[in-house]
Amino acid sequence: MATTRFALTPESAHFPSTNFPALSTVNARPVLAFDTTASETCYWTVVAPQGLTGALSAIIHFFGNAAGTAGVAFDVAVEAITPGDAMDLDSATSFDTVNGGNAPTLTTQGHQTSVSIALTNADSVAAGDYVRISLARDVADANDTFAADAYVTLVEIREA
Amino acid sequence: MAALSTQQRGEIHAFLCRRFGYGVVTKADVQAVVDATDSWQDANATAFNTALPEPGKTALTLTQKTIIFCYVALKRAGIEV
Repeated sequence: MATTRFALTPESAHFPSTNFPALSTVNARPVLAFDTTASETCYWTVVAPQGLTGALSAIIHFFGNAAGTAGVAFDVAVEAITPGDAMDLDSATSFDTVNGGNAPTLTTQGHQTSVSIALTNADSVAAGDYVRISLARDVADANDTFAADAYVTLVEIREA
Repeated sequence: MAALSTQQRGEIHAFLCRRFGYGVVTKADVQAVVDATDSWQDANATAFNTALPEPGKTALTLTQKTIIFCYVALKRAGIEV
């Protein structure tokens, strides 16, 4: 049975110093506004929960800032650090290879859809690890054709 | 007034998509329209200037005439300026 491990909200995201999605609201709902031409990234920090053993996937809930259907591509990457790892947090990151996926917006503006991305590259995450999850819109992907912002409302991290 | 560079056309594309959003066409479609608009303006700049009456045609600067062109076009499209 699949288990929801995290519900990552826009307001719990943190951001790099440049090229990050705007944290905004639409009808009082927090959203992360991912641009259509500039590659923007945000992060969430969590602890890998006890009992975590199965494969993970990220389900990204989003809708478009315009009417019409066209593709939106996302990249999700995982960085997992176990206490004692020889990893210099001062100067380096260790994100695993990105996991990509895409889905079309729905025709009617404001209608939400989602895309499920299998986190095949999950940096060998294990229970108790310090984990960062990055989310970016892959604007260079051939499947990313939507000519407006993509509003991300929530990211679910699900264990298979 | 030369046609815009690819970089400049891309900047317009990025701005328009972020500011307005176009869901019924793709990013590539919007870029093609931006490119064609710039090319048309480049090809027809002389004809536009020729159509202007004196003394404005000679007395007004290129920037002034360009702004007039843009404001008239916006008004025609129903955009209040």
